[in-house]
Amino acid sequence: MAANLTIALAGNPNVGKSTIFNCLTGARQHVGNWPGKTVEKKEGVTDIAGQNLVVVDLPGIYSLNAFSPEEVITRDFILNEKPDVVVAVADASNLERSLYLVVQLLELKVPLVLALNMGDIAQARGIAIDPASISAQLGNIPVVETVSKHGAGIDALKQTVHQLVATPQSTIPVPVDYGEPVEAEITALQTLIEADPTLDQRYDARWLAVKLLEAEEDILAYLEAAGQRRLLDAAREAMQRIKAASGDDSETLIADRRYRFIGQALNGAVTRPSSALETGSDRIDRIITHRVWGLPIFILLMWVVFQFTANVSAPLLDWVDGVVGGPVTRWATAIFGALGLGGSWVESLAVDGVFAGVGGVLVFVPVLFFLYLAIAILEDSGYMARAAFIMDDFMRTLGLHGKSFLPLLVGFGCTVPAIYATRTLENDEDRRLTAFLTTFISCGARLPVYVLFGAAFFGAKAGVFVFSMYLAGGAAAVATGFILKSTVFKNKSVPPFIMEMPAYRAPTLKGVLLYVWKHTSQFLRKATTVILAASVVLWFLTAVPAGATLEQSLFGIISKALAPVFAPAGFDSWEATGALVTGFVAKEVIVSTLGQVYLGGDDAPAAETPTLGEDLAEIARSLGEAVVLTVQETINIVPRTVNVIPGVSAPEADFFGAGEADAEDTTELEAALNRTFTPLSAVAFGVFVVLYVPCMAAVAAIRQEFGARWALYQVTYSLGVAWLVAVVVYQGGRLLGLG
Amino acid sequence: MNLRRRVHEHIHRVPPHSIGGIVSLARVPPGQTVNLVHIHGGHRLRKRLADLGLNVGMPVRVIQNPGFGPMILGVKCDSRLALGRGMAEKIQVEHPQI
Repeated sequence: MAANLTIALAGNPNVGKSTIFNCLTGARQHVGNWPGKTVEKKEGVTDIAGQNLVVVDLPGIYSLNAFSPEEVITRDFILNEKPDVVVAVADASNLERSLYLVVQLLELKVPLVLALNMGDIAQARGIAIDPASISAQLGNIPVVETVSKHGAGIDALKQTVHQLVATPQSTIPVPVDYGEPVEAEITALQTLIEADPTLDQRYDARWLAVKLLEAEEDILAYLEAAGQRRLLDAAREAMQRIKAASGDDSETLIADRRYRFIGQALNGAVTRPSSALETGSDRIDRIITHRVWGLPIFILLMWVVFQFTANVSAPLLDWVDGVVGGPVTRWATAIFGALGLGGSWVESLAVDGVFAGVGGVLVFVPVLFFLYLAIAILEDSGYMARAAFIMDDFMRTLGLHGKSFLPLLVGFGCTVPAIYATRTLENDEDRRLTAFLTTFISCGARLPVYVLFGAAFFGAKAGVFVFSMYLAGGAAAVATGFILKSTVFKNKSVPPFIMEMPAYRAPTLKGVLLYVWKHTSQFLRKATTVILAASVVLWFLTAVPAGATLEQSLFGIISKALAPVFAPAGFDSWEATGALVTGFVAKEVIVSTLGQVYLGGDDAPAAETPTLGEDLAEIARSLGEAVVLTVQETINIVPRTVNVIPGVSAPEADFFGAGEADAEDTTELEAALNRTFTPLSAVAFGVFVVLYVPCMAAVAAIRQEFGARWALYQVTYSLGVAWLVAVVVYQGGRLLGLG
Repeated sequence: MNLRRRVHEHIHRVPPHSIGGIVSLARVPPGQTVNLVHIHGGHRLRKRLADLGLNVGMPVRVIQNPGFGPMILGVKCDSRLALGRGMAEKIQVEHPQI
């Protein structure tokens, strides 16, 4: 068979391009990065009439102007890779704007199929579209109507692509008439380009002439480097003549003519009721983005997201923790015993190093699952754009763009995906600054530490302690934003806030689940290796020299050497320092390390080792219980939210009558903590935990996205800030007589 | 309630001399459709706005303008754009001739 044929999908953001991609490729897709870019590349395979075709989902863009990496990627892919068919996806409910990109694709003279997606929304608004007429106006390019969220029209789309591949028509491209004086200058430049064989072979002469008059920056730079001075000078003079003759800039005239071309193409093809000026979305927006109500609604929704990640995920988190730490570890020990390796270093490495490490990652899957579930719903429904709108004013005071709030929100779940979430931001400086701030947002892994110390030192006021730790993280992020804005990023201008507000729509189950799966699995792939490696290193430190107690091991020696550093902050015991060292791996490890150093490990053997059958039955039973508890916690979001209002106390669902009887074995550890910490040093310790380096995986993510230097800055800065604030808290507290 | 309405009216008060003349987009009250006359800004900005449907000579409908913070515009009939106030100040518009 001949070389694989390639279909490229191009279109604006929010037009359902990815849904079409999913419909075409199903599970046969691969997500990677474009070479040298942090822009996601999605590739898949589809089957059309028994033939496998490669489908490339190009990034969502508004234009081929080459301002953003996404636009450069799309343009270069179409120009250089020459896909066999480009499917341009347009939003039927927002056709005029959607076609702006389509016209630019037409000008590239690629074999084009136009998919009019989301016709159902257009129809609901009473907008009638005649695809045949649009096709005729756009040079007879094939036009297919699709409703991708129901999979409607996908077969027709495949059929059309098949026909276009089988019988490549030389569709007569309808050139946009740019009018005088622009057309005369295009012709003149075209003559110059055609006279130069190096250019004439590489580019379509008319296309390049238009790009020159649009002053396309990267093309100008390319020609400059290629020594095309004469052409560039000619273009500059042409632009000046156009401005002098018409009073407008050439790029304004070109955009204007493109929109007029679209207007003519749609004239007669689209009919709309005169009453359709205000849409249902506009009515919803009157409340959601209202200057007074918008913020409380936003805070309420964020609260619900927070409940989802912190409470609803907890039963499943406990379940995973129990399974990995209990039966799975026991099975591994039994297998090593059967192999005659019981008690050997191999067993220790596998159980204490590898399993503990993998367990530490797996425990986060429920947290991320629920976080992404909430985010997917907000994103799919169109709320996310509104949230950026509402937060823009506040983010601007930190030198950031409204969109930066999303990574910060993700940061409450886990810092690693938060750093990847900065990819949605347009410019690099924004991304760096936002990623830097996300590290101070208290992630889910830090929570167990506050919960332990809160219970140990503040009893009934534990909630206040936990909440203040979150506030401390938030305050550090805000302060860091101010500091960086006025120092490192002094010359950084906040990009103007321009954002499309997509129409509200009901999220689809499929879309939401795909989003959740994509992001959770991405985290698993990226975090597992780093945390695994770090766990093994940590295991090595605690196991060497052989036979030593924890205090005598390399780990103990290092912790003792570092401990005096924390004397001014009030917690200079080697145990506390050791726990912080292990916190580099992942912060929830701090709790288990404290357990190990104070209580000498949890090696209390069970009275009877359960059989495999009993283990499996218990795993299934506890899973069932965890699922029921998850439902219970989901229901409880309502009373917990209502109860925030002073004076209201709605009852919470409690399926097992468990109440607050969750104290178990932690009390012993709490007693041990009370012997070495004072309440004041516990606060200082908590503050240090919130602020210092999130974890190895986060540092690795920063290094991957922004380079080793930036990762080093983050580590140094956060350690410095954490130490300083902890010392200020402790010494300040002592001055106030709290010690 | 009364106070809120007064504040609202104050913010959206269009100076008498500018009726029919050129004003900044940031001053246009919600519900009105105006024509874009000029964009103060560099080449990049103008192109970026044009990509999203805001180009000289085009009609823009103001959907939300609370008087502070970003506003929401309707462009090209069905597209909704959120625009920062700073940006809106740089855009000159005029009421269409009736």
